[in-house]
Amino acid sequence: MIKILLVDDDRSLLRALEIGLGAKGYETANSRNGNDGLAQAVLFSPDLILLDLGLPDLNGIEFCRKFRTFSDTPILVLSAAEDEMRKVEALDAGADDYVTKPFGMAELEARIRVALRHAKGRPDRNTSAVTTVGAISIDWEKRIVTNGGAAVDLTAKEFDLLSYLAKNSGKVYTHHQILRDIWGRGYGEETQYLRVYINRLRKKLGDTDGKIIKTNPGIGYQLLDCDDES
Amino acid sequence: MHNARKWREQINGLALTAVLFLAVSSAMLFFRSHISVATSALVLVIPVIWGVVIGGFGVGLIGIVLGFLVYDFIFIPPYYTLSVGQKQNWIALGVYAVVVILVSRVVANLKDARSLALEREKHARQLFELSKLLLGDKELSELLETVTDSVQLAFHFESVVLLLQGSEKLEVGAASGQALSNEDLQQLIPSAGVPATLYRISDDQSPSLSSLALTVAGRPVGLLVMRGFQTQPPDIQLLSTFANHAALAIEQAQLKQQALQAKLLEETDRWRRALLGSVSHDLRTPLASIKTAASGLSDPSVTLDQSQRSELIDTISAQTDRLSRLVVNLLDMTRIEAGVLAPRRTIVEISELIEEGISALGDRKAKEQILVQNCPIEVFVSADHALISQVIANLLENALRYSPRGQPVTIDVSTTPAEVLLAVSDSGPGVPPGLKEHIFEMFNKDSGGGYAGLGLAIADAFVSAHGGHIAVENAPTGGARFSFSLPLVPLDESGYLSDQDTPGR
Repeated sequence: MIKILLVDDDRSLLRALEIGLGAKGYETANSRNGNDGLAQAVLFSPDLILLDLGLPDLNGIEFCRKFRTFSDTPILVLSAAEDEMRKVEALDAGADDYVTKPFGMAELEARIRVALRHAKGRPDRNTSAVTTVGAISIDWEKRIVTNGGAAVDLTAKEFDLLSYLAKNSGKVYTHHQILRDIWGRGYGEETQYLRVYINRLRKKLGDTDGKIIKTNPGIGYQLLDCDDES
Repeated sequence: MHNARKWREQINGLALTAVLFLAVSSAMLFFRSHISVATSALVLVIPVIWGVVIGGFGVGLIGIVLGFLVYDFIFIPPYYTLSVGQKQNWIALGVYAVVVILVSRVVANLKDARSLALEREKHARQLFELSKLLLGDKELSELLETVTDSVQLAFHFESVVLLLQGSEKLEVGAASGQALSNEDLQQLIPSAGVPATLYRISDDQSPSLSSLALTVAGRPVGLLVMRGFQTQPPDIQLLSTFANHAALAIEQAQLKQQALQAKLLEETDRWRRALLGSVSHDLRTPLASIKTAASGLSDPSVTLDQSQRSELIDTISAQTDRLSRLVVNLLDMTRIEAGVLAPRRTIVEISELIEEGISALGDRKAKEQILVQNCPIEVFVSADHALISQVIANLLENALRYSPRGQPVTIDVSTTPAEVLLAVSDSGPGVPPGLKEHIFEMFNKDSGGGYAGLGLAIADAFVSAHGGHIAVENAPTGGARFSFSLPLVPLDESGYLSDQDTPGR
């Protein structure tokens, strides 16, 4: 049974989530503040964490930062639409994806499934030389990418970008994160570089409608299976 | 004043010269035959030089002529004639004249230099005294007044006006002395685009308006306008130096004021953002639960049993109540902000207020946690029952939010002869020490990102409208305790409400 830890200070939302997710076959535990949430994350060892950003004791960003020091269990952030800045901060601090409040159960479950599938399929760089995300497979050693068996001719930068997103497929990487890690510290704000490269990558992968490399407007990009629904 | 003093000095010098000539001449007259012609010449130098010291070179010239005559007439034989006689006495007379002229010149120069130095020192001291007034942390308006006051007093003007650049035209910043007539003001401050007629300040004793521009590094700061010299023309140099100092001080004060205004705007902006954030959070939180519960109920892939189904329905209902109470609170808040909150007091039973407060909560599940202690029956208070029941509801809602599920929230009532004290205690973590002072502030966003929201601020505003205030403390057993009191309406012996305490609507 898949275990989900709910961290939110609003009791009625917790209860509604417990019932909804319970009925869909998930096992849940809940926490009403951040410190208890961190403790539960160790005791309950969940497969996924649903995290509210506005906690009474420590904020969601600190939670992500602390949690990431000992676990890479996916974190799905629950946030209000106007919390754009905090959403980006949480993603920078290690959260995987976000759902904007108010959300329906169907949307939430879809996001949960995506996060779980990608978390399971994440490559262990030490043991596997090839990573597959949907029809795309990336050979780390030979730096070769194939899409549905056909080789895709990528420049070094394009390969870096694709393999970076593939390292944690399903995770939303912020513009800032990608630019910093691939282009270097000085490029943190140059989002137009990123747009150009993402467009080229999409063309080469035949991803005309952005289903493989998904745009999260104002936030960043994530690499998805073609059969991920969202 | 300047010239009068000079005249007085000259007359004094002249008189002294004359008296001294008289004194030394008559003294020497007795032993004229025993002293040489040259010695008497030396003695006769004294009155002339003394006169120069007191009265200046002009007096000296008169003294020289006088000395020359006295010397020739009294001390050079033949006596009492202007004829000189022996040739060597001509030389003595000549030497006397030359020496006296030269020494007078030197002494007079020294005197001039000294009085110039004195003048300069006085100038510097005056400037220092004036500039000292500009120092210190003054507000702009105070500074402007200091400038006009000190210019008026130090330079003896009838009136002094300081004009500053307004948004469209010049505006009077400060004025001292006699008020300017409307005509003068109209002349000084014409409508935008029309040049003002002013006169340059000058040495001639013009009694009309004169002006001096205040500038800092070429930037105009203001215009100093003065009218009338009461006694003498002002020391232009001193005035313009002071004006420069004043300009600098005014500009600094203006900059400081601008910085302060910018900070105030920033503060207001920050507050607005906090308000918006808080309101949208408070509105969104119940919406999130409603949406989640409703979508869970309508999702065909979710199979729920009867109790889960009813719990989700309860959640939707309770959160809808919460949302509507929030909307009520928001409307109340606008009433408070608009300052139109006047309680309509009636006599109500306290138990009724509590009951109404609890029922306003709506949340059926959480209401089981509320424990009412010592609630007396037939105790009446004077209160606006709509406002106070909402105070109770808001305090309960806050207490429930911070109490763990299953732990009681207690309402406790105690009475004194004059008052009824109502307290709501929770079993939460209590109020952190630093937060106590700010807990009733509207949109206080407490420590870690949770929101105290509007509830407490509105409760406090309503109790304040009744003339009281809500006290907050931490109970010894832990948890926060909010309390307030209402005036008790006593019953008379026969158990009826006594008439005199019935407040009007």
